[in-house]
Amino acid sequence: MMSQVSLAEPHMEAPPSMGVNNDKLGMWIFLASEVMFFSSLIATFLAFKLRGQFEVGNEVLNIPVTALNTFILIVSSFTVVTALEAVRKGNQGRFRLMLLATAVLGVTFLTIQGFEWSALMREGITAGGTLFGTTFFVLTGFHGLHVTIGVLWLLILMMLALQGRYTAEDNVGFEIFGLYWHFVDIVWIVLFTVIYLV
Amino acid sequence: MSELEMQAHDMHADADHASPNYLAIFVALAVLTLIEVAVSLLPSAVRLPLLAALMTTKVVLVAMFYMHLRFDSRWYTYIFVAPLPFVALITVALLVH
Repeated sequence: MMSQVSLAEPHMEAPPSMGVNNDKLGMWIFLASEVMFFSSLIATFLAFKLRGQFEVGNEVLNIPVTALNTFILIVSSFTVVTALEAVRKGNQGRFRLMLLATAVLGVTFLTIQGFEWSALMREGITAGGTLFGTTFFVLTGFHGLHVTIGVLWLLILMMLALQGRYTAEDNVGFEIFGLYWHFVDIVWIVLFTVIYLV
Repeated sequence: MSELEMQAHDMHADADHASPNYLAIFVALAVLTLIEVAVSLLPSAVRLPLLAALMTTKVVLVAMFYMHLRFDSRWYTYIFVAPLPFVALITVALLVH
């Protein structure tokens, strides 16, 4: 009874707040930890490469195909942000179509990367065989794992979207997925430069 | 700006869904990727700084516009860039080791 009276007090102060959405804040903190994780791996690769310690150079890598894969991931970031814009405008049809497009693009990226890995293994470059192979497969493997998790997450979101879970007023759950997916795109932008072009 | 004003600004920013020209950002990212591939054929003295600049531009474009850091609460930006000193430290440490 006392608490009901106190809640009705006009001068009740709001609890301390940073003025941000807690779910989004959690995702940004997670992404900050991911920055540290990937930067450690990338710096290691870069150190070996710039010191000339790799047994092979860029000639073994298929740059045109990987550039295409980079383009596919950039398109997928565009489809994710377009999906977010669509759901915020209440366009459920376009939202679901963009989700499907993103899933297809994610699977295409992974398929092309699978072909690239197979080609490298046929050349004798394996995760345990050479220093280049170890660092290459660890870096691209962890990134590929993140894309795979993103695609699985996306499939769950698609099921929720079909049930009408996301609306113009309530879509932060999808926005958080978008942050993750764009971050995975950022990591690939860095990997494409460091592994394939430097 | 007082702390209360800053909080009010951040809450407003969080609720405000700005819609930049996403297609233009996409085209910029695609063109920058093509330029990167062309630059990779240049000698290393020119190639390395140019590739670093192009890569950084692409990362900033995605973070600012697709991840909405340009429009959202600045707290998210502070959190996202907080590990950068660590990134610089580990990169320098490994390169000079």
